[in-house]
Amino acid sequence: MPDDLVEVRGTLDGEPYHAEVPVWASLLDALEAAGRPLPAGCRGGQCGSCTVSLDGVPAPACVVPAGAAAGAVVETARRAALPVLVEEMAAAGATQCGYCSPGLVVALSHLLRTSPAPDAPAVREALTGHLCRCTGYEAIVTATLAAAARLTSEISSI
Amino acid sequence: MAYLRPATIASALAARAELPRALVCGGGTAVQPAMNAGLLRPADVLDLGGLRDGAAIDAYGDRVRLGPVVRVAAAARAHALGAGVLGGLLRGFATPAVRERATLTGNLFQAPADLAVVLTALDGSLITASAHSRGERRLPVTMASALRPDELAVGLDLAVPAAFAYERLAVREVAAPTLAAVAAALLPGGPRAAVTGYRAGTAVPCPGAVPHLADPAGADGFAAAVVAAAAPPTPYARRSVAALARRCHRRIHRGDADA
Ligand SMILES: Cc1cc2nc3c(=O)[nH]c(=O)nc-3n(C[C@H](O)[C@H](O)[C@H](O)COP(=O)(O)OP(=O)(O)OC[C@H]3O[C@@H](n4cnc5c(N)ncnc54)[C@H](O)[C@@H]3O)c2cc1C
Ligand code: FES
Ligand code: FES
Repeated sequence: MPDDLVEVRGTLDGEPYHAEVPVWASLLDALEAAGRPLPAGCRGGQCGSCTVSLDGVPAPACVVPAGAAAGAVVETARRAALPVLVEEMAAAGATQCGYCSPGLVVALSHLLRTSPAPDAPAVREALTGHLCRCTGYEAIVTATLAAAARLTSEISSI
Repeated sequence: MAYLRPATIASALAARAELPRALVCGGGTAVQPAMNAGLLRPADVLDLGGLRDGAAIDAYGDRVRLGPVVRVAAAARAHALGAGVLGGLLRGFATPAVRERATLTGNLFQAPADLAVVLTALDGSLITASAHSRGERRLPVTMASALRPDELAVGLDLAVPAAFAYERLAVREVAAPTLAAVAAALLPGGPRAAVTGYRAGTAVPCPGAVPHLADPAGADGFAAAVVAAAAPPTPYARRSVAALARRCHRRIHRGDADA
């Protein structure tokens, strides 16, 4: 390995991954180098499109130094998404161009896992830092509340 | 080129002594965007995010010491800080995901630093140390730039408030730069207040506001003293700072900010 690169290894969606990147690279850069690019917008932590679950907590991959994620468990929407949320988003038209969707699905799935009955303000708070230029957000909020209601009724019917 | 991620504060100080030019990184939420934009191109990075002994929140007496990598979200949840007391500062600080990573210490090295006014009102100080010196140094929270090349910030010390209020003015409620902010606290050692914005620039304490903060009927006097400390340049700015101060006073004495 060239000595101006650092090696990053971790777990991505349940599989080991490995990348060699400069010291200033972000986790977003490392995932790109590992052949798993994420949607990227601002590269400044503002738009949320690159959000992943990092050791169980949502984080914009572009503000995480690649070296800080060494050994961490990284999950993209492929693995972190709650199926019930994805279904409700499709039903509500909460995805149009889809660029923002993987990032906000990670954040909203985390919200539903950690507070199963969120109200609309809690959903809007979780959407802070996620820019969607297509939907106007209402359909996303509606879909998340519908997913929460389904999860609650599934739990109470057990 | 090296990416160093020490596990203890002692090994971080040793690394700092060996590589004083390495870019120090706490949560990375300020330095990583700057590296992405090519504004920072460090040869070496000293990442404190993995410090096992760096995220503690230790209460002693009526004060609390925070490790150098205590995250903003963790501090806002902490019982040692009076659970929920600092919750108000969360409104408008970055985004939920950034708050989970951003450290309080790292914020003080940024300009503008939203937490400087909060920590000034909480009688806070920045604790620094180096591998070369035995003891620790204390700096005002607004003086992070006085860190020596071989030092790291190794903690924050602040008083636990019985009541706390923080009000800010920004173009948007969330993730927008602060134009002005006021913080007020009832501390075991007495009330304290600080203001930032306009001519005050960084956070400045408002000693003249203290007697009015203790007085439940002192909202007008409190607002006038905070305005005097901030010295806003225009009538509009003066009215804004006065309104923030009145909201803080009301929050301290009545628990809510709306008249
Ligand atoms: C989307 C977004 C929104 C934001 N919103 C806000 C906001 O509302 N208000 C606000 O004030 N900031 C905001 N920020 C900026 C940033 O998140 C905060 O300033 C944060 O608290 C910085 O902490 P950090 O640990 O991530 O710092 P880092 O990026 O790790 O470091 C910041 C600086 O501190 C230095 N440093 C860190 N720790 C130490 C130490 N122990 N010893 C010596 N030097 C150290 C670093 O060298 C660097 O100069 C935002 C950032 C993003 C991406
Ligand atoms: S690309 Fe990461 S938050 Fe915008
Ligand atoms: S669906 Fe297009 S940006 Fe959100």
